Amino acid sequence: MALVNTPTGQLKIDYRDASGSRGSTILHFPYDTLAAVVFTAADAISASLNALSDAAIDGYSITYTKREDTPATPTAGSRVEEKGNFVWRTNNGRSTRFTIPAIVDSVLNESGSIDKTDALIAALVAAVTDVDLVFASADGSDITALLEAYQSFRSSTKRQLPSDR
Amino acid sequence: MLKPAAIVELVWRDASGSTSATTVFAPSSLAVSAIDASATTLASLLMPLTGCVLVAQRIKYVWVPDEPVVASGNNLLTHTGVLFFSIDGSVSGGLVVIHAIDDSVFVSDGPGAGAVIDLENADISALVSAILDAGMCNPFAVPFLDVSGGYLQSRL
Amino acid sequence: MASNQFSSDWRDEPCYLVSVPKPLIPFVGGLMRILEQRGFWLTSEDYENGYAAVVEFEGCLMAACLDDLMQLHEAQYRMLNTALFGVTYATISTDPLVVTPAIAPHVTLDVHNQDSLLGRVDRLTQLVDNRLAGTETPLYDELPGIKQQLEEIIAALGEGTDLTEVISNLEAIALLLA
Repeated sequence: MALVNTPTGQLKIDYRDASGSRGSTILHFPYDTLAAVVFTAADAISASLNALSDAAIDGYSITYTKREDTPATPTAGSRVEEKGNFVWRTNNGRSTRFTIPAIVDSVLNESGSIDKTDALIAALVAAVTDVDLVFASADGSDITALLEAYQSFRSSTKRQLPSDR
Repeated sequence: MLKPAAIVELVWRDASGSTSATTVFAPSSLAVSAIDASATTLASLLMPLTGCVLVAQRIKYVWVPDEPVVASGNNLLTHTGVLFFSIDGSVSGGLVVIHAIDDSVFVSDGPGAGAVIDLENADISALVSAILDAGMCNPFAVPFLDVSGGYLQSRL
Repeated sequence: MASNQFSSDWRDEPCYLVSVPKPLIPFVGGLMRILEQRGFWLTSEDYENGYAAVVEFEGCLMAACLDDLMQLHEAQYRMLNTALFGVTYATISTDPLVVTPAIAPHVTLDVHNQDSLLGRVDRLTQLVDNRLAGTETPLYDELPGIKQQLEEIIAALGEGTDLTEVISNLEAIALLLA
């Protein structure tokens, strides 16, 4: 059971045409290519595409994907719609958040808040706010403290409904 | 310009087969290997907190234009040029799509007029060189060797 | 996710030649996009095999395959034209391929070179006509023919002519056949 690199990373170049419609060109590069190298190449490729396309290049992204080769079995009854929400303070005075789908009941208080004294939660908070993990907010600011942690439910999409209903 | 944070997604699957991601951010100045190491640690901390299983991880760097961009012509996205690239063992082993392609790149005579891409076109040559110099490949990491042809397609 | 499968030995299967009108090709090629996606295939192996096949198919849609076939066909025509009639071709350029003279809509029975197949048959025909029947042809004008000389010998034998002359005439016939 391990996360395995896909053979390639993806460079996705986004366009917007005169009507406002959006599309993209996807190119592949060997997975072990450094992001900095791909960005340099993306600049050159985008410049060439600009000369060839009537659409405007709206941005591009580089994605490295790993997949689990032998996934374990999920806990019976687990549902991604049940979320554990974690709201964090950042060092520029703003906040950021992430969710954990199918949050386990053992870390919940009766009210639906998450027990911050639980050892697993405490370990998570220590790791995220510590300098050892590199995570930050979307604007790159360091995460400094956990503000809120609670359970919530999102509505199911049509695809998430049971197929045998 | 590069956005300040790369997006890290840990993708989970529940007992019903539905998937959802935990999305966090990491400074985009970091190499993939550094972000990957932290993502692995985070995944190990999250696993006991969820009834789901981890099925994938994605690290995504995003570049955005620093000023608004405007389409330079009227051709729509579906007016697409497709360039085919040879790989070891095949004349056409991979392709690259150019959306809203300018009509000046097509040959002007012969049976392919208006539809076959002129590989001698300077802008096409520049793009091909950029792709080959970058070491681009097909989805199975087989490197492109050279452009072998191209023509107009209607696709998104 | 779809559950389509694609075998790894697809290259061993026969191919079917289809003519696609040029205006339809952009749509036929564009529709193949769905086969380029992982989600269309059951397994990663099916994806890799299917992707290889569909990209080669798309690459063929507007150039390589039919052009190669037509070039081979035209090369075969020129080979036959040279072998049968002695028409001489010259390659002006190889990429793109330009050969002169161009292939005409029809041909006549004119022999362009006597070393061609029909040229040699023509030579044999003329030789036989001239030597046997004494016909004057463009290539051979030896007179009289063997037939006439034999007739003269038979007529001479009937009148009791000196055999020496007969033998000399027979030797002359033998030389014609040499």
